[in-house]
Amino acid sequence: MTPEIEVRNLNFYYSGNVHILKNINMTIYKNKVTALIGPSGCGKTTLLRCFNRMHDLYAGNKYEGEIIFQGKNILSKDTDLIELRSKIGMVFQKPTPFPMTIFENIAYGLKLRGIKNRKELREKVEKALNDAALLDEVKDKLHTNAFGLSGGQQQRLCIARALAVEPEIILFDEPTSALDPISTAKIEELIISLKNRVTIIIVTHNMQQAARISDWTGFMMLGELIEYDKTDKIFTVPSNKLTEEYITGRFG
Amino acid sequence: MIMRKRKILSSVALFVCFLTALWGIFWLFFIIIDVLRHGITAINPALFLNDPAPPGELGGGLRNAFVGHFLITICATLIGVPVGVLGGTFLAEYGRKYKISKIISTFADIMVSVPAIIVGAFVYAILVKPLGHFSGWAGAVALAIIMIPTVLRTTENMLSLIPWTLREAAFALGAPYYKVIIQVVYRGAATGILTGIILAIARVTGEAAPLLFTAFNNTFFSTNMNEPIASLTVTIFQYAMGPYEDWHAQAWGASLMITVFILFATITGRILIKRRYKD
Amino acid sequence: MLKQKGKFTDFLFFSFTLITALSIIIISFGIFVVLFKESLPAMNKFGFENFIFSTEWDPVQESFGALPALIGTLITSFLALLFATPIAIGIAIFITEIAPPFLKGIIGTAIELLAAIPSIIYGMWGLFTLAPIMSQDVEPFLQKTVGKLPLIGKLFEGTPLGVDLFTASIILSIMIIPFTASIARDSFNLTPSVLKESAYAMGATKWEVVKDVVMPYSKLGVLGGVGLSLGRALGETMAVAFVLGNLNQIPKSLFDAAATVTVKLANEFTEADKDIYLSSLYFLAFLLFIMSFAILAIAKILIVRAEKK
Repeated sequence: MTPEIEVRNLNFYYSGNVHILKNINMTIYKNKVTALIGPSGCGKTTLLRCFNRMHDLYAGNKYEGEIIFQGKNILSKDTDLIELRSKIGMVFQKPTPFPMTIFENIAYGLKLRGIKNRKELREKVEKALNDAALLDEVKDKLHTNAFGLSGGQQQRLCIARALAVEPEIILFDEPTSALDPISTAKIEELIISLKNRVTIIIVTHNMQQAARISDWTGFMMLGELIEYDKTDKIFTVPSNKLTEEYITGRFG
Repeated sequence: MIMRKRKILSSVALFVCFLTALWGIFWLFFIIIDVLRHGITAINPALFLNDPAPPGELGGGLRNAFVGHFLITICATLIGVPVGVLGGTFLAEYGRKYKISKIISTFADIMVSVPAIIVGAFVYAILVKPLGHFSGWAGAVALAIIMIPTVLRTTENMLSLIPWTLREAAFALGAPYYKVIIQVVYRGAATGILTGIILAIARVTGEAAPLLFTAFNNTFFSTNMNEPIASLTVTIFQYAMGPYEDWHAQAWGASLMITVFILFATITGRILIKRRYKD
Repeated sequence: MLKQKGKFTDFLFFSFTLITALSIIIISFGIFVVLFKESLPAMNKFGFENFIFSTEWDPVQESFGALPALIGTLITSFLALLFATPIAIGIAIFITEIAPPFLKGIIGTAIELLAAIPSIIYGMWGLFTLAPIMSQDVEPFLQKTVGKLPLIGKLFEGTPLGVDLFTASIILSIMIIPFTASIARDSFNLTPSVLKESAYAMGATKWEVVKDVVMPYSKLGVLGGVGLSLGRALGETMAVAFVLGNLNQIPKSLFDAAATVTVKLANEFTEADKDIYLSSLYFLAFLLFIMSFAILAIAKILIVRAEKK
């Protein structure tokens, strides 16, 4: 088990000095699925968005502590955000296809990186669509507008888009909460199959989903990481009483 | 390497956008300062107290134009505002279930931007030609026609912002609909509607084209709305096109007064809206 | 008794509001019908097509044609649109994506003030301040530089008097910036944050997010804003009347004087001594009304479609 990211004493404040994340310490392991669970407002999405510095888009947010990735602290001021985001991708709660064709959506990240060769683009786009289990469904309509796809297909499109640039890590922010059960199942299958290629961190409000697909699980409450351990341990013999109460549905 | 190129491109492109904002602000200040500069020298008591002197003679003023303009604007407001407010009330209150409301709303939006000179030509055909003479009333009607769509749309929008539950509460107390509208809804939307009216008045104050062939102009002092009557804007047009330096100076003086009034009214309107609808 | 009185007043109030609302339709159709009726003599005498394509304008011979005025209107409006649109979009991008919160409101208000300045003030400023600058500095400069180029150089021929197509178009362009800018700004703001975040999450720069996500998403709205500016430009009178010269000819260079429908109406309406003269002017007004109404209607439809998303 190789560590990929080390989170050390992470504290996070929203604009106005609102203390949201309190002293988070954890290790994310390479090629594993790590789930973050907890009741609404516990800070799991806030933590997720630290990994690709999404909070920087809005004024007034402040990070303290370190997140070590590839030997460097990605929270430091001189981190190249564009380079960081090419190594750590993100899939959002609502499917977000860009106003372009399916092909152009997947190729977007590649074109940003300067890949112009048509053959190379097509190969990479097809590979990404294949990895996202979408290729068969769209291979005849690659040049139609992405909005024509169903919700589940759009979300797999977003996953393919993130995969195309071959990142080390993909962050998933409640990726199935807006989807029907069949699409949800397809995406869960997909995530499990992807972990050989990519390290995955997924935020979910659905405990059963975490139990189904993750290797490691972190339980959060009120901004603190209450317990972090292998998934089957968390869901069978959790060490912390709060974890046990959440798992057994004492509170939501 | 390509990442550096993209970042530089981004900075350059965004800087260019900043420059466009400067371009807009630049012209705004240039024009306002210019009007101030030229107009301030013409501001003296004679401008307001004297009527125009015979062409070529000095010492004339624009008293008749100030008074005439005021009269036309007041009359236009008295005609246009009630029609606009009541019309907007229909669209917001009763009109929801009728398809025609959508059509009226759309037409009103289009009419807001229709050429002002066309309105002048229209009023000429119905109020000047048949009666055989220009009149202040024709000018007022032309300006009212320009005001109505604007006031109607802002009234409609402001009334629609009042939550339906407020009306329900009044109904539950046994009030008839017209009382609900007048006593509850109007009161809640008063600031917004007032602002719409102020902005509409500011707009028609600066209009010249619709008055050119309705109120026409009058070199003498008159308060008779049945005759041609002087207005600031038409006078500015005629004086600016004329050969006399003195006329040009007076045109600038009138321009300054109009600009100050309109800017003041517009800014007041915006502040009122921001204060009331802070969200 | 009381309830019946309330019901009657209710009905009265309802009727009042209905009638006033209908006034919009009545006025719109009224303008159409009246302009058409007044143009009939000219339409019958010259014929629809002939009138539009004729370059004659002879009050003495009683021969009139619309072409120079129509072309003048179209050229000034399109030139103004050409100058104004990139600037307006840049301003909208600045306000929505670049400006810090305190600056957003100030710049937004400043642009709205530009729209509040009446057309006649633009005319005064144009005639007394801008035109001299144009004729003494800008236009000779352009003639010496761009004027020497082949093909494009032809656009810059003629004596630079300052009272010409170029100056009028510049003034018009400044006037119509706020319309496109404010609608573009509203459209840009409708772009869902999640969509923008998705692009940032892929490592896009801010400009790339604007170019590849925000602008394509807001296409319809921006086009609607451009349509609105065009509609306004077509109908502008006073700003252009001061600096265009009202010369009934088809301009061959940017530095020629020209005429537009609105300027013609403003200058000649009260001078028209013969019925056919006035009727021809009404014919011009009718054509202008149709043009601007159509453009404004299309713009409105685009904006409604953009907001429906």
